[in-house]
Amino acid sequence: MRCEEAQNELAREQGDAVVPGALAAHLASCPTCENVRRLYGRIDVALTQGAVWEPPVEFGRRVAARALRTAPHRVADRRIVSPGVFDLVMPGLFVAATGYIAGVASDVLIMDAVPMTWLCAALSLWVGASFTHRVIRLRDLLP
Amino acid sequence: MERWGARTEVDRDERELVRRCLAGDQDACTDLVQGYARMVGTVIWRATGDDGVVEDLAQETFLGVFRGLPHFDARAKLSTWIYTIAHRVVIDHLRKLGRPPEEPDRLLRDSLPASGVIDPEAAATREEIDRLVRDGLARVPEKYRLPLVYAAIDGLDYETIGTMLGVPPGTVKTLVFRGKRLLKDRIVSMLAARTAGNEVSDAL
Repeated sequence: MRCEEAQNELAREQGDAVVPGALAAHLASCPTCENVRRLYGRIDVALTQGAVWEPPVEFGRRVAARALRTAPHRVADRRIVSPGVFDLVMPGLFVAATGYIAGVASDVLIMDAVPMTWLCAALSLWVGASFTHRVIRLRDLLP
Repeated sequence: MERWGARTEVDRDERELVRRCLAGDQDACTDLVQGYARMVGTVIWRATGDDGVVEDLAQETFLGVFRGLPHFDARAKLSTWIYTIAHRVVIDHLRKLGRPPEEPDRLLRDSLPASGVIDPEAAATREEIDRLVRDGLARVPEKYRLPLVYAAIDGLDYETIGTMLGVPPGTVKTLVFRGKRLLKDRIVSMLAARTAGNEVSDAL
């Protein structure tokens, strides 16, 4: 085994790994590579025993409070209705409304405009809410 | 089987925690931060080497986590997703510092020859080696340095690091190997500079 191969092997080894036979034989006869092995061992120890961060007391509560303060719309948004349900309900509602208008609305419109007015108001509200909802979701995705 | 069961239990707990956070439960949000703060802070500290920025960047990470939580894919592992956000925060921070990019290929070509490596135990104490590792790491290009320091953190495996970096685990292994070689070269050159004027054999 050449020194370059041996040192590449050593770079791949973890600090406490068992050295394979051919590499061990080379190390026994090559002080330079043995020094490299020791150096890698020291590097591994230094790297694995590096700093570990301990969060300050109340860090979690402070960050959580800030997150909820700065993003209340997202929480409220989820609580009301999930986007999946919203997207499913919208087409269904439009189909139902179209059917209603095509089937019975002509008579209703002539006899009583109040139910039709309520239906239009509800649809307008729903469409408005849908667009607002999508704008909020889009804003979430932007940086 | 037991391992699988344990993982399913963790998944269920994670999903429940995410659900409560999305519902605006402040205790759940606090639990989420406290559960991952130590690891997130450690990732940031090791990657930046600057304890003065850890708290701010950790906070930035968790604010990013809460911003992204409505879009979190429940099939993913929460911890890996959070560490990935921490890694991106680190990258943004390092970019802002404007550290000049080195040419990794040139650095690898310029690796020191195999001969002339000083016995580290004879040349430096453990504290000195630790300092040399810190100084040497600062000179290793980001591309190799980050996988190397992440791989040394207890609890981060190659698969997780691969997800964080957006590369396969095999690539992480290669980057760690090259990073370690570069770091060794840096330390050898620093040790050699310390003993300048002496023959290498004197130090051995």
